[in-house]
Amino acid sequence: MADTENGASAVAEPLDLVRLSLDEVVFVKLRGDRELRGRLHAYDSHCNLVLGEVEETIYVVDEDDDDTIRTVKKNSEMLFVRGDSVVIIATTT
Amino acid sequence: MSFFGFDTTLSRDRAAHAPHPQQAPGFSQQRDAFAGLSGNSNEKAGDDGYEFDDTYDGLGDDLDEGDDEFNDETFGGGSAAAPGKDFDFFGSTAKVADAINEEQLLYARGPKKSTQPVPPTYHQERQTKAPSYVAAAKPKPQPAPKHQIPTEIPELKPEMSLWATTSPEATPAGKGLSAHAAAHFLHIENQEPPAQPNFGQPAAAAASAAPAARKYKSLEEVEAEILAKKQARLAAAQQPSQPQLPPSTQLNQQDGWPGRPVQGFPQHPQMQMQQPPLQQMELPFPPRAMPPPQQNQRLPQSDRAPEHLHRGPMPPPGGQIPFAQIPPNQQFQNNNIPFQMGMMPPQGPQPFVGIPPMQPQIMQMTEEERVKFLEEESKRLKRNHKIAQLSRYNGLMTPSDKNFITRIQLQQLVSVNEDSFNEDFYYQVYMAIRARNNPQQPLNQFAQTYLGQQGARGGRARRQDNHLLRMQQQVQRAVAAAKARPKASQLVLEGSLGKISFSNVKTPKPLLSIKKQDSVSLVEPGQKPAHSFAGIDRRSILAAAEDIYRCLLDLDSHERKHPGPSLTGQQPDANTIQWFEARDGLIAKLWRSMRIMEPIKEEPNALHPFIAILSVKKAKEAIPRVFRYIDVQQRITILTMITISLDQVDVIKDGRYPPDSLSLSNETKKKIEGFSQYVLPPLLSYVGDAQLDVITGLLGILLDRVNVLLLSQTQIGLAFLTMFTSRAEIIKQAGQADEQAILKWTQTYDRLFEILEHHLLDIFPPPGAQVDDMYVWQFLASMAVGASILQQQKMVSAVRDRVNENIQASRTLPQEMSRPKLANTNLFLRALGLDIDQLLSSS
Repeated sequence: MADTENGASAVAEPLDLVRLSLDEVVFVKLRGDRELRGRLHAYDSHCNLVLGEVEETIYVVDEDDDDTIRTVKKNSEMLFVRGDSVVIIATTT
Repeated sequence: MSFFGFDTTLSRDRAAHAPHPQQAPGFSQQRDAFAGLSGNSNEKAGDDGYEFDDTYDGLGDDLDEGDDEFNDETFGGGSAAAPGKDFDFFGSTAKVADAINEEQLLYARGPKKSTQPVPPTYHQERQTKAPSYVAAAKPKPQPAPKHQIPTEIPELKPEMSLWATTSPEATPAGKGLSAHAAAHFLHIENQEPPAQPNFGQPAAAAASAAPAARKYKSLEEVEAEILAKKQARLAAAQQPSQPQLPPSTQLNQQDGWPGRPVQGFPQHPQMQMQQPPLQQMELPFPPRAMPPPQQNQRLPQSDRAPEHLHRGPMPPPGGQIPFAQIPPNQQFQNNNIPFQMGMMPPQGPQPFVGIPPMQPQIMQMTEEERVKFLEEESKRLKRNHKIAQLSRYNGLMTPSDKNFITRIQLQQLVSVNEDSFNEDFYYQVYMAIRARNNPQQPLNQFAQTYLGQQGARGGRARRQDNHLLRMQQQVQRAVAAAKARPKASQLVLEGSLGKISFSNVKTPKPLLSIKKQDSVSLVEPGQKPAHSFAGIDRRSILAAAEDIYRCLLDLDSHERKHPGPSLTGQQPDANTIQWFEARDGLIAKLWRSMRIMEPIKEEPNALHPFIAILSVKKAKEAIPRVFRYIDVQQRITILTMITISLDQVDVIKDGRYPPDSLSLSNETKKKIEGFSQYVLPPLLSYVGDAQLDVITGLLGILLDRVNVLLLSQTQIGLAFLTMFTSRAEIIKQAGQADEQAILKWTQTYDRLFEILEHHLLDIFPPPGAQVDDMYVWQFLASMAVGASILQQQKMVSAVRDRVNENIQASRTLPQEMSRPKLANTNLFLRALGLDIDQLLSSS
């Protein structure tokens, strides 16, 4: 693709990839079996994130019921995510 | 007491008391050359007439006369003639004057030793013969009378004052007299130049640690001086009413003030400066009427002094010694105390020596004056004390030390400036706002603000202001200089294996150095290959959008560095020109980053990069910000580009209601919302100022290249059409266009109408869709205004059903829902010259 040139210019360091996703809906995997899906408003070098219109999914292992995995979903209008718990930031489309 | 353990005490001393004799002070003890004059004169007054046996210590008896064989070799006496009796003291001394001075210097520096006098004869002899030997012998202190031992080196050190010192054989009285004479000499010597301020050099100090530079006078000179002085004194006594006479001044100095320096107190120049007026005030008292009887007594006595002096160190005739003359020492003390204590009130009658010079003055004053005078005096003394205290540390720092400190301080200032102010966004914004009211040089902004605060605080006295002003200028210069100097960010030490880089707040030490290349500047407009955006993937679109934002942020921050408004009629300075050049560069960069100038491809479905970028929400949001910077030509380019590619814009492409669906997808709704919120307003504002031919041209392009039917079925498409038609109508009604332009417009309008006239119902959102169809009615209204009668009739017949539908619905729906429907409908009807009320009433 000829515009890798553009891509390379805009992406000089790993976090520039995150920069491309600013104002886009991203998928964020967190420690503690949590996932987020929301619009990325801001990030910093620690991967601290500010997400809007977030849907949070928590995977819970139900010990009583034969170790089945249950999911809990939460919705937040705005969320601050501390960077040390971020495992993956991915675009959704 | 002796260095070599000899008992050097004189025999009489030995007999008198066991401990150390006062007349022969040991190490570190100041020898008081006046001792014989003060107390000792009384105590020794009786023992005039000394016998040789009394004074001879008998040491000569103990001498071993045996080992004298090498004496000649040691002292070089063999070739010399035997010492005769015709000593030429003055002549011999003059020959070795240099050596003596040197010796004295050494002595003054060296530790105080027992000053056992040496017989002058020996002294002279040795010194004339071997001056260099004298210096060599110096370090070995040797008790005086031991010179008979050949191996021992005798003490050859000269006396501090040749006249003031006496041999051990000299009688105490003679000693006293000679000391007295020496004191006189000192006075005379120091007073010789009338202008010399420190006439009262401490006599005792002078005697013990005589200044090396002092020149010895010949006896003849001394005599002449003393005589002259005495005569002057007599003359002054005879004419007391002439205050300005130099001799009288001298007299006063001699008689009234001699004691002050004796105790060796540090003297402040201020104190001395005050003396002349005091002396003048003192003068009205005739000296003879003054209370101190001693003073008067002394005058005749002094006449006799030269006779004693003539004899110099030799023992004077016994009877003459205890004359009534008060030893200067004693007089000094009496005079001295009240003066030194400063402002002690007069202590009643002073029975003895003269009333101190200040006291008659004080006593003459009234009570108030006295109090005032005393206050002033104490103030003055306090000040002197303070100055003396402060001056203790004078000259501790060299100028280069001070420079060093100043440099550190200024450096601190500069770094404070750069770190916390230059980088502080809020401070900058604040200063930018302030600078608008108060234009300043940006470079000096800090120095002025910083010191402005200081100035406000310390602006009490004008003198301080002056200092601050100077300091301010200095700091400004220093800050400018420091800024001009490039700061080294790393240091290479010789022998080190690498560079040592240091960091500060402004430039933190980089842990990773990744070069950021300026992508956009690399891509020249037009140079970009046509296929560069062929397969547009999401990532490159996002990257392009980020580029736009990066350029925008650069421009924003550059905008904050605006050098400030230049005065009208004034040529912009280099700074401003440079700023505008940089700004133009950034704008060009921004323009390129939007990729709007890339050629439009003819193949179907080819998406122009700009349009592709515009599909991203943040790119839409950037448009109003971009519009702030670009010029009119660039705005029209953007408008044209969007117009040409309007059917490709996502909000149009996805904006049609899909068949069998009552609503658009959520995502599309948001996009439409974003487009009308961010992109439309700047375009609208541009169109609002556009000329009719521009509008005609744009609509023509639209009709030529874009599927207008498709366009008309979307909200944004209709918004564009409404925008053009309404603006044209406004221009027409305002009469701002010429006939030809109107004619052209009418032709274009007719084309549009032809396309749409059979599809007017299709432009409405699907019936039942819960959306606001106001935009449709707005479009219809704008079309109706510009339509001919025939066209209007067509329109009315086309949308009549819809109008009736709305009127029907408004009757069944609750008020708040029906009212907007009626209002929207009325928009169109009004454009036709109708009103909905007519319809409502008619039906």
